[in-house]
Parts: sequence; structure tokens; C-alpha cells
Amino acid sequence: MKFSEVNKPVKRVDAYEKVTGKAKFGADLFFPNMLYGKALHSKYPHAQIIKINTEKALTYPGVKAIITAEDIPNNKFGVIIQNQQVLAQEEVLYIGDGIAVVAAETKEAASEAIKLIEVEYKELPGIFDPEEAAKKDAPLIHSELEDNQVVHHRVRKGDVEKAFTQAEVILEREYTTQFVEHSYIEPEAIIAVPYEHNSLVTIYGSIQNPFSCRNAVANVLKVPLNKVRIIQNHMGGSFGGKDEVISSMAARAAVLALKTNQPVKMVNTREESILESYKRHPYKMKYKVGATKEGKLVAMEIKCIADSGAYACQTPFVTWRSVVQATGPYELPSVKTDTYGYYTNNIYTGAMRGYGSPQIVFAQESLMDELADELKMTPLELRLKNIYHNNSITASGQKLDNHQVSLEEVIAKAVKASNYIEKYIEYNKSQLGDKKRGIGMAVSFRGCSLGAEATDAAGAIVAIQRDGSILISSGLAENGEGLKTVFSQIAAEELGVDIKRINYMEVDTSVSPESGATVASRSTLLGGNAVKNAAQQIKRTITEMIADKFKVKSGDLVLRNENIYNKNNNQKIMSFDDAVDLANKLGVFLSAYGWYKAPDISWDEETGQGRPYFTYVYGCQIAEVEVDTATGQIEVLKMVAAHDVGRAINPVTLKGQIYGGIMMALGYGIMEEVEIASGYIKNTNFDEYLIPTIKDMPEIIPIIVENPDPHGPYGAKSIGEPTLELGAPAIANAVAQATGRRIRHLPLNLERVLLGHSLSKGGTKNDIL
Amino acid sequence: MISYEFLTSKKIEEALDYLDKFSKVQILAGGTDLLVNIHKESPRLPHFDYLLDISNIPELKFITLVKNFIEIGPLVTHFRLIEEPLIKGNFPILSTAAQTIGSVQIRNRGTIGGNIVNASPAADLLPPLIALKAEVVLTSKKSERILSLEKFLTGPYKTKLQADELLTKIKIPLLGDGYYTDFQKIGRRKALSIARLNLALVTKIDEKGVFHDTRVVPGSATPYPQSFPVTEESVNGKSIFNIDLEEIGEIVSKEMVSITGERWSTPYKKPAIATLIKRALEKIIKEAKTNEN
Repeated sequence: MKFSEVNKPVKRVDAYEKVTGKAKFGADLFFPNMLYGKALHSKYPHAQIIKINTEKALTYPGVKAIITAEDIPNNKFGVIIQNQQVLAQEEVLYIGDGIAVVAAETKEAASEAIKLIEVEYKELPGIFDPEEAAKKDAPLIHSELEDNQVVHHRVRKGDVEKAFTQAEVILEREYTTQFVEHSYIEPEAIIAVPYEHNSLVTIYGSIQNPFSCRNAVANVLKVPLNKVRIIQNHMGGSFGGKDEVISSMAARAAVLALKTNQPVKMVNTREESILESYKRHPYKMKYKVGATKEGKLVAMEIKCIADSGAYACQTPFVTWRSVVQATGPYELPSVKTDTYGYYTNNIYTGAMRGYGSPQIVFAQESLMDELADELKMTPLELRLKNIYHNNSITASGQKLDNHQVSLEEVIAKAVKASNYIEKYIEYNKSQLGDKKRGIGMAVSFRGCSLGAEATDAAGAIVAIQRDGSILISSGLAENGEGLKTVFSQIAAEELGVDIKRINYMEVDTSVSPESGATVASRSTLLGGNAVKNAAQQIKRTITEMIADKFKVKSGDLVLRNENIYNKNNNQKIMSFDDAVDLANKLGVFLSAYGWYKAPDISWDEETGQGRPYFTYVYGCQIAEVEVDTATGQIEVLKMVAAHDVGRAINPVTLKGQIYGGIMMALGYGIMEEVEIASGYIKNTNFDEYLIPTIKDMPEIIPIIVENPDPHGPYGAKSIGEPTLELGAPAIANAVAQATGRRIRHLPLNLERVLLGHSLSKGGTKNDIL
Repeated sequence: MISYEFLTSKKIEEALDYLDKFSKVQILAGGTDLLVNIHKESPRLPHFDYLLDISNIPELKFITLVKNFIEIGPLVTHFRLIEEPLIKGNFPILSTAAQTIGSVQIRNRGTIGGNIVNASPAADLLPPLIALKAEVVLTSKKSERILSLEKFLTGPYKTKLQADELLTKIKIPLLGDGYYTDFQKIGRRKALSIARLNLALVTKIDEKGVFHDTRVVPGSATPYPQSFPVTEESVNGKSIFNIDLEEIGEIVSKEMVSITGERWSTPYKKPAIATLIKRALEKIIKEAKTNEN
């Protein structure tokens, strides 16, 4: 297939404004009479609020208003389960719960005033371990519920008990992962403007999902959706992280803006951001696998427990993706998987790039290597014996028959590019000196888009202006990944015009079609199809208009190179500009709403059987490491990443996703951890919460594999999240080969690598010894 | 929010006047530690009413050779320590250590004087400076005194600097012939990394290959960097041809624990500090053997 705009490394449409510093982010916006909001956070992870006294704070110069839970029309919100408090009402449930918010004329006044708010607490014992929360006699985190369970998902396939009796080798292992912070470079920022244009309140800011934010704010204010307008600004990163925490901030700012009748701006410091924003779920995972001596898997039994923290947030869906993908991409006749989420008084957990997959992929891919070791096979051999192919049946009973199952291909390409086979043999030999090398792989399959979580549809508007310039607006939001560029490429491709004609609009919830959330690596697939659909409608309008006037068949007309041609004789009929002029004269409407609804899926919650996702992507990453076995330092030398994306709409931004995903995975794998002790967070800034720097970046070899999917625009599927879920297990497997010692807990920090276990600081956080 | 009066001066004399006249003055040099602590309202920061900015005093930005000493102004940045031929040539250990500090931005702002006066247990310049027997010159309006750096430090983030004194000079005696130096560091990542552990080693190897005048100063191992005399003595007199590195490793671990007792991090630091001294010695021995040939 020949393309003119897609499948090409087109320059980002928002590059200029970003590299020149002209792009406006939330914190860059100012409005006349704007006030600054600051939230007072809890002093304890779990406590009853006896009394809040704001009198002194209200007298602080410049303070205009203070709100508490009493002032919030509807204090509970949530995307799935509405139990997150905008401000703590009777109890604080985690250390980052807000208690009051001050609006003042200056940031400084707001910061000083919150110190003057007197809160009388009765400290309550907390639950900080989800397994404690699961116990029958455990105190309730949410008193209105019967127990602390957020959710329980199941997959039941075959007879696991019987299958294990037939297994020749059985392995049981436990793996754990840690709390992780998104570490977006731009902390949360919101400005709520009251009575702007015809809206009750307009919200600007760093908003990942404008429509989720609108739902939350409208629900909290108890007003119709059309009274709340959300306009997204440029985003300094999100990675799944600017959803509920931003909705909460927007709701607080909106209440204050309406109370004061002045715009209210709230910008978190990094400390506030880490303290109150949700994290990636820590998981405890028990895996039991049975296989024949020849290495054919016969059964797997899995139990995963996720710490949901104080609120449900995204736990029901995060653990759902885990239950679908928990076995990894391996043919298994018998599977029993249970995933659970429990409330605790830890910081709440939610969406973060990967969404329930980085945890289980770490476990299942570590397990496969351990099993290979047990069977005296290479990790590659064991995987090749068991991976999915076309028409394989998944643990959920889904036959993979509607797209190319390309695991073998991605593995082969990654193996070749990394020289895996030779290096695996070389590093298995005894190595002299403290520094030992290893090479490790990880593979995965990943369901594209939302799956059975929710209705899956998206819309877009393509509007051709009088002069032939084009505006695009979509309900899905640029998060920095390159969505605007990809959507512009698709519109340009369909209309046969130069991408320079297109101006891509920010999401404005009062204009853009509601499209669900920008999550689940779904934008190119869902939103791309919606843009394509809108552009095709306009194309049809144009060709019918010309066919009518020139007495040709509209089906014979093609739009390309800024012109309209008759495809039979390749003759130019008119330019695109002339066609627009003609439409103007004839009164032909050259705008369209595009819509795309994902194919049907199914899911039985009792058995976990059905078609949970309509298509999947496949990936293989291989890590080569050097471990200093005398200090515990890991150097990742090289990462090879082969991903089947269906079709690369923009190969350069796609590679950017791979580089970024691998760096986030490297941090997840070897250094990142939000240290939480009894609900208190110890590392609230980047001096203590370490993420990789450019100096830690290994050589990365991205390999784009293209097997066009029948459902994707031009065959395109997903890339954002798959890039993140494979790095940590690939590194862990490489480290295990290098050291001869398996580490089953993330991160693989200095202490774990040198000693085999972690060390806990305890004491005060300022004690660096 | 911490509020204070801001003072600035372009001359040492003026700065000393301020220190004499005002009390509770915090001195600002590069600011790479201080500004963070002010922002954080760190409990480590003593209460202060005045901030005295000395960063514009040209008289504090020198590196000169005076007789048998290299003299360094306290405002010399880490970047200059890395680049300056006088430092690279005479004390490569100092350049190496400076290279491991923070990031480019921090190395461009942060100063040797600040690193000394802040006296962090993890300061990267303190172990090499102590091992080089550096001295600090402390000047007040009324007097001037010289202390060895090791004596100047009294605890984590604590020094003998008096309220009216300014660190005006760092003096490092030149090493004679036959001296070797090395600096080792473990961090949790490759840049912007506070030392999990570091170690400076300075030693003299005579023509027979015997160690003398060995100085071993680990960082992040003890409440504040200090010499390890037992380890030093155990190296002195040994030969590069038959020194038992495993034994030295055990000795340095024991000496560390004798100072700190068992801390939460001891199980990691015991083997790690042994590794660092072994690596430093190995490197020096290799160099000495190369020189011999």
C-alpha cells in the first residue's frame, strides 16, 4: 500500500510551539482577578476529623474563601465507583486526603493561611497491607461497605486441579511489585473560571481526560454537563496520572471559583503532587505452573492481590486487565486466575501506563525463565513451545482468529537484533571478575483499547474552512504522545492534502465529541478511525459534488497531491482549493462528525470467558545487562524492542514511545519506589524518589513490526503501553542470568542485587545513613 | 515559608563586616544545597534572619600555587575543579570526585567551599580533601585561623565555623613523589546521585613497592567523613606484590562498624566498602606496576 501522509516520519504538528517555549501549559495561564488555591492535606493516614476551625486562617490578609467538605454539593466522585472524597468529610483515609482549600490573592497568602487552619483529629489505626484488609475481622475502610474488597475477577478454564496431577514439573513462586509514581515533569495545574461565556464554570489545565474531568466536576456541582466546560492545555506528561487527581483539583477549584466569583488557580508543588496523586498498584502475585518434561505448559493457577489504597479509583479495571493477561501469551488448557483489589489506608492507586500489566508481566516472564531453568531448557525454547499463534485459544477462551498473531515474528526479530542466542550461551559460561553480564527476554500480548471495561467509541470533527484550511477536533486528548500529529496525518491522507493545511484544536468539551478517555493505548485505533471516518464523509461530499457537475462517476475520483483526479485516465479535474471554492459557491457543507465504535466484545464475570478485547498487540524485549556483583549496581547495556503495531502511522513518534517506555520500565525495574511506612510517604521529591536520567539510558534498538489489523486505521493498533510492560522482567531475567540469583521483587535495587533482600530505613527520613 | 533579609557584598571585607554586625546570618555561595533546604524548610537548617550572598566576591574565586600548597578559593565551582590544570595535574582525585557530583547545572553552581561548610555525610569532595590533608582558612573581622579540614568537621552537617567567620581559603599540600590517589563511588544511578558510599585513597609507594602514609577516607559510611586509621595502618608497610586485599576489605568493614555500630544499612555497606577499598588499591597497584616497568 502506498501512502502519502501516513506511515511517514512527519514532523510533530505541535513541535514549533513547544521547542520555542510558546506553548501554554496550565500554570502559564493568568486571568484578571485570579485567586490562588491551596489545599490542606491530612496529618495522618487514618483519622477521624473532630473539628475544623478556619477562623484564624480567614483573617489572614488576602484570604478570600476557605472551603471544607461542607461546601461541596456532592462530595463523592469516581470514574467507576463513586467513593473518592473531594474533601475529607468525617474521616481522612490516606495521608494525601484534602481537608480544606484556601483561595487567596497570592500563592504565599494561600500557603500561609492553610497553616492557620486548626484541625482536631482522632487518630485511628490504619490498615496498610491488602492481605490484612482482606481478613474477615479487619476494620472497614469504608464503613458503608460490607468488607474491604474493591473487586474480585476470575478466569476459569479447564480443570486446574486435575491438570496439575498430570504435570511432570510444578513450580510455585511469589512475586511482588512496588508503588510507583508517574513522575510527569509538570505537576498538576488547574484554573477554574466562573461564568465565562455561557458556562457556569470553565476549567483549564493539565487534564489527561477532559470528559472524565467534566463528569466529575458536573457531578460534584450537581449541574448538567453542558454547564461545565473543560479546555485542555498542553500537557507536561501524564502517563495515566492526570485523571482522578486532576478531577479532584478541578472540583475544588470550581467550588471556590463559584463561591468567590473569581477565577481560581491551583498548581501543586512536587511534594504535594507526590503526596496526593495516585500511584501504580503494588501487587502480590502467587503463581503456580505445571508443565511436561518436554516443556509444554499444562496448567497455571494465579492469585494477584492489588493494593487499592483509600479509594476504588481505577482498581476494578486495572485488575481486570491483569486477569485477562495474567498467564502471558501462552497456550494453556487449564487456567485458574483470581485478581483482587483491597482498600487500605495507603495512598490510592490508579491508572499508570501499563494498567495492570507491568506487574503480571514481571511475574509471568520471571516465572517462564525459572521454569526453563528447572526444565534445563533455554528461555527462548520454552517460550517458542508455548506461545500463541494464529487461532490459539486464550485463557479466556478467545480464539485469536481475526488478526495476525505475530509473537513468533517479534521474538525472531528481537532475538536476531540482540544476538540473543550467542550471547545467552556466552553469558552462561563462568565469568571472571565482579562484573557479570546477562541477557534476558520478555514477551507479552496486550488487548487493545478498553475491552470489556466500558463502551468503546470515539468521535472527531473535521471542518474545511472557506479558504481550504482545515480544523480538526477530537474528544481524545494529546498527552504528549503525538496524537495531534497522527490524527492530522490521517485526515491529510484521506483528503489528499498537505498536512500544513491542518490546524489541530485543543479539546474543548463543549465542542469536541465525547470520546471516552485517552487511555488504554486506544487513541490511534479508536480516534484515528473516527478522524478517518469524518474525512471520508467529506471526501464523499466533494467527489459527489464534482461528479454531479462534471458528469463523471464519483467512484472514479481520487483526492491526492492537493488535487482531484479521475483515476481512469489520471487526469486532474481540479485542485482541492478549487473544489472548496466550488463548494462555497454551491453551498455544500464541508465539515463532518466522524464516529467509530469498536467491534463487539463479550465477558462473563463469573468464568472470565468471552472475547475480552477485539484485537491484541504482541511484543518482545531483550535486555543485556552488566551487574557489578560486588556493589549491586546494574548497568543496562542494551535493550532491543520489537513491537507489532499493526501499522506505524508515524514511525518517528512511535520510536519515541518505545524509547520512553523502556526508560520508564528501567526505572520501574531497578530504582523507583515510593517508600511508604504505615501510610506515610517518605520520598516526596526527586532528590529521594529516583528516576533514571539520560546517563542511565542504554542503547535502544526499536524494531517496528507491521501486520495491519483489519480494524485499525490503515491497520494501526497500539504502542504506548506495550513498550512499558516488558522492560522490568527482561532486565530481571538478564540479572538472574548474570548473577545466578533470582530476584522476585521490584525494584532490583543495590541492596537486593548484592544481598538478595531489601533493607528498610525506618527512623526519620532525614537520616541518610 | 522562611523569611529573611538579603545581604550581598562584592568584597571579603564587606562580608566580614556584615558577619560581625549581624547575628543569625546564613551564607549563600552556590546555593545548590541551601536553596533546596530553604524551599523544603528543612529541619537541618538553623534559624537565620539574614542571608548573605557571597557569590559575587571575585577574591574568593582563585586557584594558585603558593610554595608547597595549592590554594583554592571557596567559590571555585566543581566544574573548575574538573577543568583546572593545576588541580588535574596535582590532585586528579579531586577532579574525579568533582566529576561525580550532581549534574552539569549543579557542578556549574556548586562550590568547594559550600561542599565543605555544608558538611554532608555524603559530600563527594570531603573524603578526597581530608585524604589530601587539606586545611581551611577561617577569617573573621578580628582574626584568622587555620584548621585541618578533618578537625574542622565535627558532625553531620556540623563544623567549627564561628558565626562571624568566613571560609576564605582551602590549602592543600602538594604530594611528593611516589604518591597515588583514587576515588570510588557507588550511586543508585549514574548522574544526580547522592553517594550511597564513596571512598578516597591516597598513598605513597616507595621504590620497593611498599605502602607508606596511606590515607583512607570513606564517605556516607560514617556520620561524617573521617580517616580510618586502623585501615591505613594495615596498608602501610605492605607491599604491592603481596598485599592481601580481602584482609584489607575486612578491616575497613570492621572499622566502619566500630564507628557507626550496626545500622539499617550496615548489611549492605559492609561488603560494599570492602569492595571500594579493594578496587581503589587494585587500581593504584596496577598504576604503580606500570610505572615501574
